[in-house]
Amino acid sequence: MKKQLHQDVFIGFICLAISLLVFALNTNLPSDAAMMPRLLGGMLTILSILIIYHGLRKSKLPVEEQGPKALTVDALKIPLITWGFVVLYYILFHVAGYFVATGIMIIALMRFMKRTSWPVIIAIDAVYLLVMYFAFVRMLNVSVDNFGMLGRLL
Amino acid sequence: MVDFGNILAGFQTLLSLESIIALIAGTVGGMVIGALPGFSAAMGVSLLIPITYGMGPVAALSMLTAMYTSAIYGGSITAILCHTPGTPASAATAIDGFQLTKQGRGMEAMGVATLGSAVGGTFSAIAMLLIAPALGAFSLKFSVLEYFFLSVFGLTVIASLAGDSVIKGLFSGILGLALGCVGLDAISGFPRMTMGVIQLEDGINFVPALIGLFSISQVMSLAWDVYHGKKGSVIEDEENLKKSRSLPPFKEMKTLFPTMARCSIIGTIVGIVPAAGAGVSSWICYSMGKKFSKHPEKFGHGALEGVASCETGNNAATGGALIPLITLGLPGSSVAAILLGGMMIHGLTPGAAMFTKHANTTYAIMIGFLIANILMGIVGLFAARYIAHVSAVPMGYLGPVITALCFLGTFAIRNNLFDVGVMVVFGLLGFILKRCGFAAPPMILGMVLSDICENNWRRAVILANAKGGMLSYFLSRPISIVLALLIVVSLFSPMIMSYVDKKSKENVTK
Repeated sequence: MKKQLHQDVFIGFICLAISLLVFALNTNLPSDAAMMPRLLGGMLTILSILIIYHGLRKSKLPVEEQGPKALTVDALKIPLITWGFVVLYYILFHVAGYFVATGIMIIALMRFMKRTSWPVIIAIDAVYLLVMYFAFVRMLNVSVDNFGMLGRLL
Repeated sequence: MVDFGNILAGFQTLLSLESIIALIAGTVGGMVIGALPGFSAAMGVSLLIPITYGMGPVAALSMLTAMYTSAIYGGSITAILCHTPGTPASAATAIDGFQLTKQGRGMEAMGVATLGSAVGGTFSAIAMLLIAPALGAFSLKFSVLEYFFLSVFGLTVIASLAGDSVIKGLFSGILGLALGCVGLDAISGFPRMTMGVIQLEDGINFVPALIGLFSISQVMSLAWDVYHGKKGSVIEDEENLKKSRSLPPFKEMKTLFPTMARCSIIGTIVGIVPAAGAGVSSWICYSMGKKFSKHPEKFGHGALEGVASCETGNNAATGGALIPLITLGLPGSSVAAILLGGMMIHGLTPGAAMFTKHANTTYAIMIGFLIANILMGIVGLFAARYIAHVSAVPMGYLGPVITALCFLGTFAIRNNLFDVGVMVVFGLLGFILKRCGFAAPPMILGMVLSDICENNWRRAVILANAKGGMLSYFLSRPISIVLALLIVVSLFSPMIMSYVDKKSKENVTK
C-alpha cells in the first residue's frame, strides 16, 4: 500500500507563510491600528495549522484514496500559460493602449484556445472592438483610448 | 404597513430610459450568462458592476438585480434542453426537465420553468416590498455596537459559502478580512500592509479583486477544458422542439399553480436565511413538491410538477436573499455579497437610510426587481429556445472576449491601470484557490465587511469606555444581546442547512 504526504500539508504550509506575513507586516504599527490585522493573523495561523493537521490525517490513507491532486503539471500548465497571455496583454495595454492590445490578444488567445477559423476570429475581434469603442468611449466617456502608445499618438 | 406613496414615487423614479434599458439588458444578459455552463450568476454580476459605474444608482442596481434573478432562471434553459445545468441552482431542474425533453415535451417544460421562475421571483419581490421597509425601520434603533454585531453576523455566512471544506472557507474569508485592512487605517491614518506601494494606501478595490477571482480564473479553467476536449452543450432533439407547444394544456397547467404558490413561500423564506441560497432552495422545494404531489412516482421520470417546484423555489430565493441585504447589510448568498459591494459603490449603505434618505432609490430598485421578474417570464417564453443555443458557442471564442471585457470593465472603474494589475493578480489567486479547494465567495465577503466590522467595533469601544466598560454597555443594549445570540445560532446553521439539503436530496432519490 503506497503512501505519501497529502497535498493539503504543503498547502497548509503556504497558508502558514501567508499568516506569518500578515503578522510581519503589522509589527511596527501602533496597537490600535494593528489590533485587527494581528487578530486576523492569529486566526489565519490557527486555520493553517488545522489545514496541515487534516492534511497529515489524509496522508495516512493510501494514495488511491486521497482524491485527485490539484497541483499537478497537467492541471496547471494550460491555465498558467493562459494567465501568461493575460499578463502579456496587461503589459501591451500599458505600452500600446487598450484597442491595439485587445486586437492582438483576442486573435492570439483564440488561436491558443484551438479556434482555427480566421474569418470568424477576425469578425469577432472587429465587432468587439467597434462595439466597445462606441459603448465605452463614445457613450460612457471612459478614456480608455487616451492610454498607451496609440493614445499618445492620437 | 405598505407605503403606497413611496411605491408610487419609486415607480416614477424607475421610469427613465436609462433604467428601462438597464432592466432589459440585465434580464436578457442574465439569461445568456445563466445558460452558459460554468458561468454563474456571481460571475455575471461581478462582470457587470464596472459597467454600471457611469449609471445612476437606480439603473445600476436594477440591472444587477435583474441579472441575478435572470441568471438563476437562465440556468434552467440548458438544464432542460441540454441536460447541462447552467448554474448550480438548476441542478434539480435537470432531473425532470431533461426527461421531458426526451419525451418531446422540452418546450412545455421550458414554459413551466419560465412561468415558475417568474411567479417565484415576482412573489419574492412583493414580499421584499412588504417586509423590507418594516425591517429597515427597525434598524433605526441600531448603533455602532449593533452594526458591529451585524457585520459579524454577516461573516458567519462564510461557513455556508465555504464549499467542501469549512476550514479552507474560513481561511479564505479571514484572508479577505485581512486584505480589507490593507491601506490607511481609517481612525489613526497609519498605512497598513501597503509594503511601501503608494497605490495600496487607498486599499485594495474589491471590484477588480472580484472580477479577477470570478472571471479571469474562470477563463483559465475554460482553457483547460478546451485542451481536455470539453465542448459546448448540444440541444436534444432540436427538430422536434421547434414543433412542440410552449406551455402544457391549461388543464394540466392549473394543477401546477398550488405547487408554484407553495414553493414561492418556501423559496422566499429559505432565501432570507443567511446560510441558504437558490441552490438549497431548489432542492428543498423539489423534495417538498414530491412529498405533496398526488403522483410522486412521476418525479424523476419527467414530472412537470418537479420542474415547477425547483424553478419557482430557486427564483423565489433571490428576492428573499435581497431582504436582509437591503435592510441589514446581511448577504444571504455569494451573489448577494457581490451586490452589497455594488450598492456601496453607488453610495447606498444598507440599513435605515435605505428607507429614509434613499427611499426613492430603494423603492425604485425593488420595483425594478419585480418588473425584471415579469419581463424575464415574457422574454423567456419567446426566447428560451434561441438562448439555449449560446451554450453551444465554443469556449475558445468566449474566453478571450471575457478577458477583454474584464480589462475594460476594471479600467473603467477609476481609469486606473493599477486596478487592472490587481485584477490580474487576483485572477491567478482565484484559480489557485479554486484548485486547492478554497472557495472565492468568502474572500469577497471578508473584503466587503472588513471596514464595517473594524470601524464599528473601534467606535463601540470608544463609546463603551465613556459609559463604564464594554460589558455594561453591551448588557444595556438588548438588540446587541439578541444579535449576539443570533450569531451563535447562525454558526450552527450551515450544519442544519446541510442536513436539510442532504435529507431533501435523499427524499428525491428515494
